[in-house]
Amino acid sequence: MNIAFISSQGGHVGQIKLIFTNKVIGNKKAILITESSNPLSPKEKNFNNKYKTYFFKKDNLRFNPIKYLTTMLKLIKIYKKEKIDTIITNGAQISIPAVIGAKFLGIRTLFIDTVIRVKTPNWSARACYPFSDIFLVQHSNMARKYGKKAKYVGGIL
Amino acid sequence: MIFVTVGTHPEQFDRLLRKIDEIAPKISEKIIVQRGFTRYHPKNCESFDFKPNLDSYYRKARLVIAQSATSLIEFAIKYDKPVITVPRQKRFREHINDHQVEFAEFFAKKTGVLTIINVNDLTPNLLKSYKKKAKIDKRNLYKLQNYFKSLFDRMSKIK
Repeated sequence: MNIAFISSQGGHVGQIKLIFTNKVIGNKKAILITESSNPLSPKEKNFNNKYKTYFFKKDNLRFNPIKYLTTMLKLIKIYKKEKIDTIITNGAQISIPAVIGAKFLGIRTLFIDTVIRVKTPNWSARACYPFSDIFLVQHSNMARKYGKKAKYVGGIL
Repeated sequence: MIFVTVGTHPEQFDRLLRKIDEIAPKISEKIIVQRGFTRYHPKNCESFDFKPNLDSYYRKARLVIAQSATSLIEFAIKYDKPVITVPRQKRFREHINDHQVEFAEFFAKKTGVLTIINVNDLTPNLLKSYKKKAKIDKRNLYKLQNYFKSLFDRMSKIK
C-alpha cells in the first residue's frame, strides 16, 4: 500500500500530523504533499521524520482554472513516480486537483473534513465530495450536511 | 512569558496586536508576539513574523494567546498550559468567513478555555491572573486513528 497525504499548509497539515502518527501508518509506505511559504528547517523536510515530503508553493488556487490544471498535472506526475494507490486529503484548495487527478489514474480517494467546521460545510469539502471514495467528517452532526456517503468515525476533538 | 500567535493566514489581525501592544507596558511579564502576515509591529514588546517551528516559544510560555485555529488542538495536546483564544472575524476582514468564531465557541465549550470575541475584554488583570488550561479528551482522536489502522490493514490485504 502506497499512501499520499495531501494537505494545505497551517492547520490542515497540522491535522494530518495529529491523526497519522507513525503508529497509525504502521508498515505502509507513505509520502506527504503540502505547501509552504516559510523557509524550512531540515527536520521539517520529512513528515514524521520518516516520510518523503513534497512542497508546493503556497498559492491561491481559487477562481484560477489554469492553476488548478497545472497543480493537478504536477500531482499526477508525483502519483505515478511514487506508485501511489491511495490518497488521503483534508483540504483546503489543493485537495480539489488532488482528488480529481487521482480519479483519472484510478487511485483510491479518501477525504477528511476539517475539524474546525463544527456547523457549516465548507466549499473545498463539497467540491471533493463527488470524487471521494470515502468521505469522513469530524463532528457527528456534520455528516448529514454533506450527503449519504459522509460518515463520522471519530475526530481530533 | 506570554506568547501571542496569529498563525499563517494572509489577512491582517492588527486588532489583537494593537491591544497586546497597549497592554504590554502595563504588566511586568515579558510578551512575545508572532505577527505572521500582520503588518502592525508592536512597539512595546518583542515580535517576529514567522519561525519554522513555534515549539520553543510554547515551551517557555506561561500563557498563550492564540487565534482560534486548529493549532490550538495541537497545542493543548502537547502542552499542559493556560490558553486564551481570539477568533479572527470576517467583519474586521481578518478572515474570509467566520469559521474561527464558530470553532472558538466550540473549543471553549469542549475544553473550558476562554474565548475573547471583543478584544477590549483583554485586560492587564486578566492576563496576570488567567490560569485555565485546555482539557482535551482524546477518545475521539483514538477512535479515528483506530478506524484508519483497521482500514489500512484491510486495504493492504486487497492489494
